[in-house]
Amino acid sequence: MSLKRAIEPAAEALSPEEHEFLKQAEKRYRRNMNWFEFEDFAFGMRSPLFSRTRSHLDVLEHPLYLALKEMWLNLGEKQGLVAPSRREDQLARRKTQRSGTPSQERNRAQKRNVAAAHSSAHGRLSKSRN
Amino acid sequence: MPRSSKGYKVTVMLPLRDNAGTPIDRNTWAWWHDQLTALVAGFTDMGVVSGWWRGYTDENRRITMIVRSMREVQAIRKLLRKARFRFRQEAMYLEYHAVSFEEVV
Repeated sequence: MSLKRAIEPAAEALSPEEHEFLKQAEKRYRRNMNWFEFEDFAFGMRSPLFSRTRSHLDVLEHPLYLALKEMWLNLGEKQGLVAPSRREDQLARRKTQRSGTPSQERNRAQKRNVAAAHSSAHGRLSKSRN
Repeated sequence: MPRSSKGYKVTVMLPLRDNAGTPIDRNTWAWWHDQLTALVAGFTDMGVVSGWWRGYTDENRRITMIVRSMREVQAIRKLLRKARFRFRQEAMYLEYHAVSFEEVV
């Protein structure tokens, strides 16, 4: 989930106190606050997330929790304390492989077509031998 | 009289890197945070401590929490068993002991 996707719905669903807290968190996030300090701020005793009326499981789905968690993970990544998740790694790698000049992309597409033609020819050949 | 109760003080260590020195990935931290939040009402991050264990030098987050029953200690143990795979560890540290505590107001 991107930060924008996490923050926008959160901002609409929050109480004024939670909204103010999210703004404070965003400021700290933009200042690149230390990962551990941000966690302490976002999920510590001062956080409105853990009000007495809310169960632990409700917290997990609360838009403020989701937004704060996203910021916390992003900060960790930025500061080199958190590795990108493997799926994101793969997507980034695929993106890099796809990018290139149009002629490189054409060459790759031609190679793919040739490979596909070869494999289908092999398939036909083996069938005819059987 | 102060309101006091019995419980268990639980300490766990979470590595910042796996044994190959790679930082723990985002999905694992997200998973851990959700699991712990669902399990306990609060915890204290005691900071990052350096340690040495069976030839591995590492940095760990030391987290302590107070739980009311051994059932909760068991739930944390179960969580650590899963965390062991996610954090790519040979073993996870779990320490607990009975305590009396008060919320002084």
